[in-house]
Amino acid sequence: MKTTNRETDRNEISSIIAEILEEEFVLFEENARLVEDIGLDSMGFLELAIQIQRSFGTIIPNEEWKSIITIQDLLDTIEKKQQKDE
Amino acid sequence: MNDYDLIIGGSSEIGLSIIKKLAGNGRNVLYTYHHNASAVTEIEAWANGKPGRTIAIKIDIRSAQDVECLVSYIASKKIRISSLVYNTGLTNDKLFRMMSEEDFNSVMDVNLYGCFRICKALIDNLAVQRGSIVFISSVSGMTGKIGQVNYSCSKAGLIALCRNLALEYASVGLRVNCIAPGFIKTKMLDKIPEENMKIMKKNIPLKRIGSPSDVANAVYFLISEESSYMTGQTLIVDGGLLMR
Repeated sequence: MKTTNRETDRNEISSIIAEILEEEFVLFEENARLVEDIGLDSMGFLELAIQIQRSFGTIIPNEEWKSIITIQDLLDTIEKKQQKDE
Repeated sequence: MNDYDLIIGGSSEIGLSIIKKLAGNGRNVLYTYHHNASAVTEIEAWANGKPGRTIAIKIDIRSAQDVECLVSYIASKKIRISSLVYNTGLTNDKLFRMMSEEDFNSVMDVNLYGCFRICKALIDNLAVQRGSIVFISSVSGMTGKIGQVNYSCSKAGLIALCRNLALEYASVGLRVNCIAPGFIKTKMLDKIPEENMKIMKKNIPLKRIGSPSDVANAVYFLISEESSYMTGQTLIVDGGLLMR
C-alpha cells in the first residue's frame, strides 16, 4: 500500500511525541488531542516545536500553537507552511 | 558552512578578545557593536587571512526594532547561529541613595533586558542547532559592591536567567552557561589609582589582574563540545578572588 506524505508526516509526529513522552511508539489518529488525549504539557510543546523545526524545517510561531489542538491541526499547519515555501 | 557564533557586544576589549579567539580558531563570528567603529576597523584588519570569517552589525540592544533587524539579517543570509555570547554591558555607579530609578533602569536595560530580547528572538533557532549560550556576568553579580546596585542586580539577573533557560531548554539539547569575570584589564580599570590597584592585586590569590583573553578562553570552552555536559553553570574567572 502506498503511503501518502500525510501518513508519513503523521508517523514522524507520532515518533517525535513518543520520544518526548519517553513512551512506546503509538501511531496517533488525526483527531487525537495533543493535551487531553496525548498528555503533552507546556514543556512537551516546547520540545515538539523544536523537533518539528528539526525534522520538517517548519517554524510554527508561538501564537499559532494556540489554535493547534489535534494531530490533524498540526499536520494541516505543517502542510500549509510547506506549500508556502515551495 | 554558514554556521556562525553571534557575539552581542563585540567592540569592547573583552569582546575583541572573544572574536579573535573564536575566529582565530576557525569559527565564523557575527558580532554586534553600538558606537565603537574603530574596534570594527581593528577586527577587519586583524581578520584578513584568518581561518574564521567575521561580520559586524551595528545595533542598539535597547531597541526591539534593532534586534528584529538583526534577526531579519540572519534569516536573509541563511546564517545558522550555533552559539550566542551576550557580552554587552555598561556601568553607572552611584551610591544607592543617589541612584534614581532611571539610573537603575538604564543599566538593567542594556545588561539584562537586552539579553532577554536577543534570547527571546533567537533561542528557538539556537535550540534547533543544539547550540550553546554564554552570558558574560560578573563577580559583582555574586557579591555586593558599593555603588553598584544597578550593575550587580543586572549581573545577578543574568545568572538567574541562565539557570532558568538552561532548565527549560536542556531537554532539546540547548546549553546555557554564564561566566563571572573578576578584575579584568580593561579601560574601566585604568581609572583606578595605582595604589588601589596594588591592593586589589594583593587580594587576588593568583596575584594578577585577569586579561580579556582569560575570559575569551572560558567562552571558547563553554561554546565548544568540550563542555557538552555543562549547563546552567557559572564559571568564575577571577584568579580566586571570591574564595576569600
